[in-house]
Amino acid sequence: MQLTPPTGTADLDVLSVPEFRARFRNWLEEHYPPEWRKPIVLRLRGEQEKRWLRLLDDHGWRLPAWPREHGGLGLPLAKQLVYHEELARFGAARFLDSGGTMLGPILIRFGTAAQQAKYLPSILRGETLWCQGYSEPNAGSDLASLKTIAVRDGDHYVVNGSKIWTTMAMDASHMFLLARTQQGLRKQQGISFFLMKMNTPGVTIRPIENLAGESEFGQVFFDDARIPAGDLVGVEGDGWGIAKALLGVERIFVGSPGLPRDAYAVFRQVADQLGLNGGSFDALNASLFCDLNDLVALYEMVAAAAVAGTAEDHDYSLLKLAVSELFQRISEANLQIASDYAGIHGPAEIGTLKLQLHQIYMLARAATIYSGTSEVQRDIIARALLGKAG
Amino acid sequence: MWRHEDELQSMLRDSVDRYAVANDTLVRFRDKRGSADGFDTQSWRDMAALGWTGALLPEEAGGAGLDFLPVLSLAEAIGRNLIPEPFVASAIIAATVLGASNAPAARKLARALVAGEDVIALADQEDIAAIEPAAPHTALQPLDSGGFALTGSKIFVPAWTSETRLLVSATLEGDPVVIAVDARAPGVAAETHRMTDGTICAHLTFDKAALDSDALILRGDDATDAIRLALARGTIALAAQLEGAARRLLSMTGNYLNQRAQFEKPLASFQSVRHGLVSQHLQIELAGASWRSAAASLQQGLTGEAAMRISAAKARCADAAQGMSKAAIHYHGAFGFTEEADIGLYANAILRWASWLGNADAHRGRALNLSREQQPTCN
Ligand SMILES: Cc1cc2nc3c(=O)[nH]c(=O)nc-3n(C[C@H](O)[C@H](O)[C@H](O)COP(=O)(O)OP(=O)(O)OC[C@H]3O[C@@H](n4cnc5c(N)ncnc54)[C@H](O)[C@@H]3O)c2cc1C
Repeated sequence: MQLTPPTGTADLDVLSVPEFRARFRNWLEEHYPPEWRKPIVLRLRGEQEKRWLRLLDDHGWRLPAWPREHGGLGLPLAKQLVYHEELARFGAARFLDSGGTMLGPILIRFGTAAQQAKYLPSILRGETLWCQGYSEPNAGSDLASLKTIAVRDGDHYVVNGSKIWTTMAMDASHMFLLARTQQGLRKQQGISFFLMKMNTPGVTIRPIENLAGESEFGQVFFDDARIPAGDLVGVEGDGWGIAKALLGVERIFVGSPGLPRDAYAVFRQVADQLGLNGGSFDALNASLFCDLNDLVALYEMVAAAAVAGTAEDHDYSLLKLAVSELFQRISEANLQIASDYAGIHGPAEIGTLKLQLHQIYMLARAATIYSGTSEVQRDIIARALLGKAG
Repeated sequence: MWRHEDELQSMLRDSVDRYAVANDTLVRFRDKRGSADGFDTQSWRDMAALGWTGALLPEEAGGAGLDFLPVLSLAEAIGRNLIPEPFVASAIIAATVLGASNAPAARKLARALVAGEDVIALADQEDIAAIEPAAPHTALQPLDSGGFALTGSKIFVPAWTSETRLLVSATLEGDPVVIAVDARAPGVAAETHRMTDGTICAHLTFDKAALDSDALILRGDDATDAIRLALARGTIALAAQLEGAARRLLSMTGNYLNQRAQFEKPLASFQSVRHGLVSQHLQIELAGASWRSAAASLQQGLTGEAAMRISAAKARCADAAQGMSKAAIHYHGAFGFTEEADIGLYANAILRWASWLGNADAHRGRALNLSREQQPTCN
């Protein structure tokens, strides 16, 4: 493919937000691989994800949130939001990019110059893919109770324990992880933040198949796996604070209404193919339509507040809660209106379309579990609403 | 505890529970769902030996001639234990149609069903989302040479295997009829779909399929009534299966929540979790009461009121079971989202049972319509 010259970042600055939107949209129209236009059901992984990240980078679209001195686009939040909205509106496949969206901001804030130089360029280029090693078999909602330990041994740390539900563990070249470096303190203390190569001796990975039929996540075992001490991020024992710092403004992206919007598009496709209209179908359709409309309105308000720096933690929690629950509700409505087709495993051929109703329904199940379960979000909201109580 | 059962019912339930333990039915369900048929013909014969496949068939046909109500205890337990063999499709729906006919062909099929030698399925539905018996476009044409040619199509024919025997509803000279069709006969084409309970459904096309005249097993009102009763019974049996599955999911989830701790406490100690499960429990209790009341009503005959209650029951049981499967996944956390967790087997089976023979919305609407034709009853 012929490269258009990279878009200068200074060039992006002079664009108004709508002009920026149009420019990115045009670029997607021109360059996005059509076979990847499968919203919801496709998530790029491994070589596909690398290819996509490289494509973005080649064309000067890589990493809207990273500051320019680290090679990012350094966009203001308003334009970052537009960037993500356009990808969703275009129907681009999902991609995780944990390196770019999660680890990068941490290294930029807490990493040493050496760590930044070692890791950031390859993340930008899509040469390394990262996974997030936080959850453990016995540390889920109560993440701070994690038990994986890292013991200092000369100029290395020796890691033992296990991480689970690690998305893309099999595709990633690296993991950022939390491990306990000191025992006997309050459980949030004595946790450290490390970077690790997945091919480190002593690391094994077991893929786990999910209910949507994909092996996207897995369990990772550490058996005397050695991490160079230079790959400790921040100060030993400060890992909890570093991990939490990530849960700031980035949470707005978890609250993006892309998934329910795409699921509602499928709802309309099913309805069109089956010729549904009138009566109780209209009532259902209208209620979903308005739910989605109002959710988008809330998202836009919170996003604007985030841009203005006034959004609070519980605003993001509320969005995440609302988005995941609406995604589930629409995925269920899809099955309800599909009547007999709802019992089909795999794609359902409805009229002239092949629709992944079962897969979407199952994918939606996870939405109230990952990134903080609904109960965890409700606790955060309740604390803001009612105080700590007791 | 309002649930109660008589001796026969508890004997039947026990027999399924013992079979389930001895055969590790969840493991079997998991194994079978990717297999060619989605169930096991040997297990079908084992179930026949236990008397389940012939439970509803009249004694003249070699069956046990049981009332429908106790047979529902089998359905409830089959749902609870997730047994993949086509009990509702064959031993309830097809058996009801066969039981209505004295024709030698029907008797022969009935005996094969009692012995578990054949899997038999009613092929009636022709339109998506139809919950009433079809007014079939599928038609029989008498042939000069004797016998008939069958032309038309049927959708979502359950319990499909390459050897499934079909009871096809059709018209013959304006009369509704049911005719036995061998799925392997020339002129029968099948497009198959794997369902979420692992079984296979077929969309069938008949293109002048040649049939012997003695394959005709029911004609006129007998055919219409038999199909109506078969679908009514099948719908309640599915409701009972759904409730059974939902109750098992509730207890599996309760066990899990008691055994897993976060924040130094069992998950079952958190009030929101407790209340969440109580909401599911309430729906399941309504579901259990609803299908039992529908079955009691059907004992008085397939009246409008019985039909109304059956629809209400199917809607409630479908929603309760689907609600419970969503809650089960959620309360199991990420583990609930894995293929290896058994709750997913239930969640999938429930999707199929909830949508088969009319989903919750369709049945709720039908219940309301039928209620308008009834004297209001408030008992
Ligand atoms: C698709 C998917 C991808 C994931 N990817 C990653 C990843 O890449 N990296 C990673 O580290 N982790 C990942 N996770 C794990 C995720 O962060 C955890 O699943 C989540 O934190 C919940 O933990 P758990 O699954 O152990 O559930 P548990 O904490 O055991 O919770 C089980 C149930 O109990 C409820 N519950 C728990 N505590 C309370 C309470 N105090 N009050 C009320 N209810 C409560 C929960 O809401 C939930 O419904 C992923 C999960 C999923 C589903």
